Amino acid sequence: MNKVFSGLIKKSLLLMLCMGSMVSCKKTFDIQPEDALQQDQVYQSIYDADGAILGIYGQFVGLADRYVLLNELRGDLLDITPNANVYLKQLSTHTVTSDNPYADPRPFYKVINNCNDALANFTIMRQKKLLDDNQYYQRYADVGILRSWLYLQVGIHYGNVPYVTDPIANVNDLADASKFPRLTFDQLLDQLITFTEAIPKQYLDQNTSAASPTLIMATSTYPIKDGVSKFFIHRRSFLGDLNLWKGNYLKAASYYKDAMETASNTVSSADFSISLYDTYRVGNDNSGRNTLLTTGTINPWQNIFSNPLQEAETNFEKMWILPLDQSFSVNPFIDLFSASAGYLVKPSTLSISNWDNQTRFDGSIGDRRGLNASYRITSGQPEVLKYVSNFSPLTPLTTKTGIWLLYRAATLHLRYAEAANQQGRNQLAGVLINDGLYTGLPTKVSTYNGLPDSYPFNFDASKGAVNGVWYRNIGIRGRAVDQNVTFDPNNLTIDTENKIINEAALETAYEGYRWADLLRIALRRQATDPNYLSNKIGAKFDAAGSPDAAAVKARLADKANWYLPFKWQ
Amino acid sequence: MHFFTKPVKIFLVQSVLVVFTIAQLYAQKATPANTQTKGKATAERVQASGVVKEASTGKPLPGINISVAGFSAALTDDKGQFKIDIPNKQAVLTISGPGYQRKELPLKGSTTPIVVNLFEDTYNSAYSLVTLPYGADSKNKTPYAVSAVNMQGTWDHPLETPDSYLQGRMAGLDAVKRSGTPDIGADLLLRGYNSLYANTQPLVVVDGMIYDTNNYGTSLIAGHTTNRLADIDIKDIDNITLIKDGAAMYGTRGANGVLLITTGRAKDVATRLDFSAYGGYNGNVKQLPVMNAADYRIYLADVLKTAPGMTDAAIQSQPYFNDNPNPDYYTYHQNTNWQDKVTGNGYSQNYYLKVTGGDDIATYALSMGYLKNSGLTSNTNLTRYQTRFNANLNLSKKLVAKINVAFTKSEQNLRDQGLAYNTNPLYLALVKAPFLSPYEVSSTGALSPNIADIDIFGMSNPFAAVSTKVQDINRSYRFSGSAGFDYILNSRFTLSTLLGLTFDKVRENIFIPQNGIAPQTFNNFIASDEAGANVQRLSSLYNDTRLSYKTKFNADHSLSANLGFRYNSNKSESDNGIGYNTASDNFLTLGGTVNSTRDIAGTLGKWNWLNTYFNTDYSAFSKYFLSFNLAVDGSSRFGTQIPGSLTINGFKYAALPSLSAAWLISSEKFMANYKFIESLKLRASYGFVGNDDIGNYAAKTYYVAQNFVNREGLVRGNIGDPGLKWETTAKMNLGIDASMLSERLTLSVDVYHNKTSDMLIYQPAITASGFNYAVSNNGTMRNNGIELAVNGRLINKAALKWDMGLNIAATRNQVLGLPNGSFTTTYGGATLLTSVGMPANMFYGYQTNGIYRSDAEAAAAGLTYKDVNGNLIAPRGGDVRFADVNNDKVIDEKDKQIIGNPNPKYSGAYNNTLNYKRWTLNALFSFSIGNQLYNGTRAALESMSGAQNQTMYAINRWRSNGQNTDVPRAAWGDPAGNARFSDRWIEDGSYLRLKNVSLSYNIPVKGSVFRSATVYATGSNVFVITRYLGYDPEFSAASSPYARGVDIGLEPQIRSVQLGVRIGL
Repeated sequence: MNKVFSGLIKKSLLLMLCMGSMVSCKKTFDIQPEDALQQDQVYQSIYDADGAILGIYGQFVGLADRYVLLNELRGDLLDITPNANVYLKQLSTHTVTSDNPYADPRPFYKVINNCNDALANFTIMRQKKLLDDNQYYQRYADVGILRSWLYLQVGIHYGNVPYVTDPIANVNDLADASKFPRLTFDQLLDQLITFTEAIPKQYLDQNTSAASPTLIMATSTYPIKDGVSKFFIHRRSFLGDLNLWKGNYLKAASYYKDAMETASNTVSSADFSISLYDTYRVGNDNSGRNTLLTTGTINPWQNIFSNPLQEAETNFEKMWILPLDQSFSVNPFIDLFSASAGYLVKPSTLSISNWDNQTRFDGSIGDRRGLNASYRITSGQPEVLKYVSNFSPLTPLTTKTGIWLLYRAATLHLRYAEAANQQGRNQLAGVLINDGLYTGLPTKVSTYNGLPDSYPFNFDASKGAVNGVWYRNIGIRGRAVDQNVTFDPNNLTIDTENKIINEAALETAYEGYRWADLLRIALRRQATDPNYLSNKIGAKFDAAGSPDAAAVKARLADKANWYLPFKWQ
Repeated sequence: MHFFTKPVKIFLVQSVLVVFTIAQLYAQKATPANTQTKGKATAERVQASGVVKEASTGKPLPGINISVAGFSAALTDDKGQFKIDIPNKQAVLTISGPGYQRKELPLKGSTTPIVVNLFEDTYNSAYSLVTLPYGADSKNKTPYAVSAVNMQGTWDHPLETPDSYLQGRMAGLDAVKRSGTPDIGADLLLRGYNSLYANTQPLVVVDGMIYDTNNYGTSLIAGHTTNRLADIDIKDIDNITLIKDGAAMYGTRGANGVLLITTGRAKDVATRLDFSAYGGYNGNVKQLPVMNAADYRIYLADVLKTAPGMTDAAIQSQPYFNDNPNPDYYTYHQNTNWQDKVTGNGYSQNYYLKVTGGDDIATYALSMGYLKNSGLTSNTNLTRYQTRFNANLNLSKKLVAKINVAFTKSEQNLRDQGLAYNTNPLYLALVKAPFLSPYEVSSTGALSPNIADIDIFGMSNPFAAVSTKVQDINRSYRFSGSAGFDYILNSRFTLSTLLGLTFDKVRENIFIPQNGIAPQTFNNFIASDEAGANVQRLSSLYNDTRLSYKTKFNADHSLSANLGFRYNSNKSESDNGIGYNTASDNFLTLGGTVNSTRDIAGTLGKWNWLNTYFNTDYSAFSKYFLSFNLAVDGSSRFGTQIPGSLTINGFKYAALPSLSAAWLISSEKFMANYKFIESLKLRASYGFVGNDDIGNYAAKTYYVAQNFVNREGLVRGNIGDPGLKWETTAKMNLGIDASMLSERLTLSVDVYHNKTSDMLIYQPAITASGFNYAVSNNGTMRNNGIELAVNGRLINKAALKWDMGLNIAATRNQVLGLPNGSFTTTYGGATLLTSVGMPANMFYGYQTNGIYRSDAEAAAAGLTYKDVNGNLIAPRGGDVRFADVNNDKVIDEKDKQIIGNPNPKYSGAYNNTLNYKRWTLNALFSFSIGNQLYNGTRAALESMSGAQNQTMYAINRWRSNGQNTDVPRAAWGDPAGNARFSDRWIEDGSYLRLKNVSLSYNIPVKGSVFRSATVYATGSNVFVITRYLGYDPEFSAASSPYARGVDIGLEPQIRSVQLGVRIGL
């Protein structure tokens, strides 16, 4: 082999390697997907940050049926029908097995993981100056509080749960046990409070289209005003709930009071119609139109659950509401509740008798929030009306749009009453659930130990040249035209609390609060009334004459059975 | 240039240089020795002599070439005698001649006059050529486990596609025909499944270029698969070679074997023209025994009695039970054999023209074909146009170019198959009430020409589902072209490159009319008709560039080596749209559908693969053969943090080596006395091959779109695995190739042990991650097996020759490792269990033991059945008796057991060829033994749970307490779950099929204008012997292990005959 040849060979080898290298530069192996977005293509701008929030809410809406079933079917107001499968029955009788699909915590964690991902990346974006402080905190507060709401739910239902706050970036994180610390419910509440307290106070106001024009914008289906803006979690009311669970009653009352005073601290804006005397005050607006006061032959109270999302007067009541728009997603409530569709669950006998046992102002029997408001009889079968009022079995394909109402003023007032009652404001609490501050407060101003009360218990319901902002408050029973309940002066705090819980059953039945309310009271009274929960839930089975009553009571006498099994894998 | 970082540059350059230097050293050493030998030879003139004869007649053969490679050559004289100089007495003579087989003859120290018997060139001999990626070689010298088919045109199988043709022709390759649809082809399984979720099909390489056989996107036509291999006309193919062991030539794409297809080129410069024409007749299928109208009416009344809310009076008031004169009387008093209405006989035709020729500079082969074939289902057919142009260009003494261009277009009219219960005519024909008519019937009983609409049960009219109003058109186009250049640098080095392009497009248009087809209900609308369009595209660029080196140190040692790279860049796209409710059944386009009903979907894929390879073959004394292969693969699909893998410039590479060795014992001196042994070779190989079908982006963490009202957001789409890598299959193979009794008997035996590690699985993720699973490389599986191929010439006379062949293979699969021990999958109504310690795809269901003959018997058993909603049901008389395996008195998930294995114990084929003068008769039987099938069609036809027509089996149904029958009761909605997935539907899938029988006659053409003329008569799928109760025991709904053996009701294979003529000019 001569030198010329070996030279030639060397040259050709070099040429070959060059050709190899030409095609093997970075682009060869680093291909970005085109029908999905790779990690480094996301969180590049404020629109990506908004996309993350929209994605989270898009997934969150999918929890609607699970949320309602876990909170209501385990409670005393909702029961199963013969159509229900064994898993729904398990929820009702508190015999849930770990293979029960309704009790799988994974869907909650699916949203939580996306929240974690968004929070971590929002912080990176802020560091990279891709988000300014306002943009950052508005988004961070919203997603952070939503994540806390999810954890509160997980804690309520499963008790001892992993508190994951870091995003699962890749499979290696799955093996890292330190990312999944398991906390008791009480530890979880501490963590959630610590986390939410760190959010600067000015960002506890609801986000607005002015503050976040790219996120809160009108769409072809919903205007901003009272439409889009209420898609997002109501921040202060949730912080009130969190502290109420923890037993920080003063703090809870403060957050609730701030929410109740929304109209005092906000002016009407592009985001929602503020009415100084009406917004979130459970009042009678005296306009003669669409008032929620149940007088006359038609019962307008039901409009809360059937009016369009953006309707102004019912928006004095609605605080956090998500659309179940049939054009974009499935409304799971139709199949669950409608007697003309799947009809898997129905009002419990106990819940119906709760209304039947009320007396109205005029002395007639039966709460107007019951029949044809919260429930109705269709072909001889009771069905929950709150979720199916717009659904027509005659045009089943076009009337499926509904709402998922997560928070409203009555809920806020009931919770405030619960917190205030624990702080010794028994009278104030009683007035709020009875016929309201104007009628109920002798001096038209809230007092404590004979003196005008201070924040967060100060209310001015006086009427005069200048009306107090609370003068239109007519109370929860007042709005329902029910006669007042009376309280046992010898056991005032406990009795008031019982009446608040009873009122919640009348006002907010089937809306997804019941199990949580009962569990909260049960935890509070654990030492004094260990069978509170077992008696409350057992009453549902007693009222229905169910043979399961004794077994359910026995099961719930043990605190270990208050929580669902957490399926680790 | 920045890809090759310094260390790699050094590594690669050095490795090349090392080989190069060694070669040089050897060359320098060898040169004097060589001269010496030559000198000696001249001095001593060692010679061998002998005579060459035709094996069948003993007639001496003149003009046969005898050679010692690289040393000397001679021709036989008129008496067939030859004399040739040989380097030494251990030399090997290579004998070849036109029309005769190629043969190698080791002298083994003897120079006594040799008698060489040659068979004809089509003879399956130990010396046949196999085509390997780096050139063709004699099978005798190959250290790899390969099977080769020299097709010689296969003009007698005009309707076969290459994949279906291979059924039974290569030991260890289990080709399972997908269905009876024309051109649908076969799923090819080499030595079992090597993967659970990645590709299971062999890599196909056509004329040196990777031929992508995957589908990118799913068909809109239920049950249909576009078969890419059908785009190659088998008459264009010269040779198919299958590499079965772990030869690491194609790196991470070779785990399922490599199928090398060589298409025909001009053999010489003479212009030849071959034309063939075939016409054929397709038979109908043997019908399944469903009930007639009389039996069905009684059954229907029975089952309706168990429907909730149905009273005897209500049943009697149904219009179909009203036997008094009424306007609907004739509508419900027909007796229709629906199977007749949806299937029919058909015809096929095929024309094919091939021209070859050229001159010293350029030779070409051009072929064109047209095929039309009708399907079993009425109004279905296939039209295929195909053309291929291959050319060889001798551009200079050193530069040779090869051009390959092929274009195929096929258009197929289809109907839905499988799990499309509203539109699958074959299914509908079985379950449709036989008392109805395909046409509207007047009150006087007159049949209208109008097709009847859906019936009172809401069931589609099968006749409407096959009508020409239904449109299910699949058009597929494939262009593949390549240009290759070989530049001879010197006697030892050659530089070659091949550049190829593939463009593939599948277009589908569907239209399901309103008339006669049951509407579909969606969340917010009812779809009366449906229109859809689908486009799938693949474009790919391929380059294979290599430097080849070849040398001989002296007469006894030779070495060859190849170093090169293959680069493959692919882009796939799938777009489809479906809409509903056009203005009329004559308005077929997607644009005519209602806006709000349209659903649009699509995917985009992009991936690149770079395979750098090194190959070296060494042989000593023509007895010892050693081959080493190394592939270093990079791919855009691999993760960026694979622990322990080769890293270059931050990217991870798969380094997969293999070593193969062969010992030709028969060439040893001590074998000289065993005259009955013609050739005996031992082979052993061990190597690593990979599977890169791990998803284009699964290694990356990505985000997907999530809708929120009418805005789109983003959510996390997966948990990425930056360590995601290829699957690795380690393959160990031991084999014997033997040829005995003067090549009258040849046999090959192979045993193998293949172990796939890093196997892709969907690993369940912990709840708190929010994800259901993560894709990871955490599975391990093995296949052990043995395969045998025997061929013998039983009669070898001038006028009569009889060849018989048998091949049989057995493979045993076992899952060795899964993170959670086991998981189940479902497909087409079947549940399959994958569990450590057993085969990967076991049927997993309930075991039955007859029925409860009475209510008392059912009550006495004390069992309760858990239904799909979890409710406990007490069985009654007539319900199936399910085995309570865990003795908890509840029949539920926990009582599921292994009830069958869809993998055959043995599969193979038995082949006979009889040659009598100018007549040739060939018969190929294929068989499969010991596999179980899930008969999903029968599960529907014997569930007795609704108004669907049932088989005659239902006549013996249980009706009253104490009745002596094993057939369950009819029960509306099947509350007890009698029809659940159980061993009732598992059947023995063993079969023996006369797959092909062909008779040809070679017409004497002496003195006429024709060069040759042959007439053919071919019968396909002549008969099947099986106990399977469905239409056909052979089907494959998908290439996944989880579809194997699951009969979802695809078109069965039909019997067909073709008559044809081939004329050569």
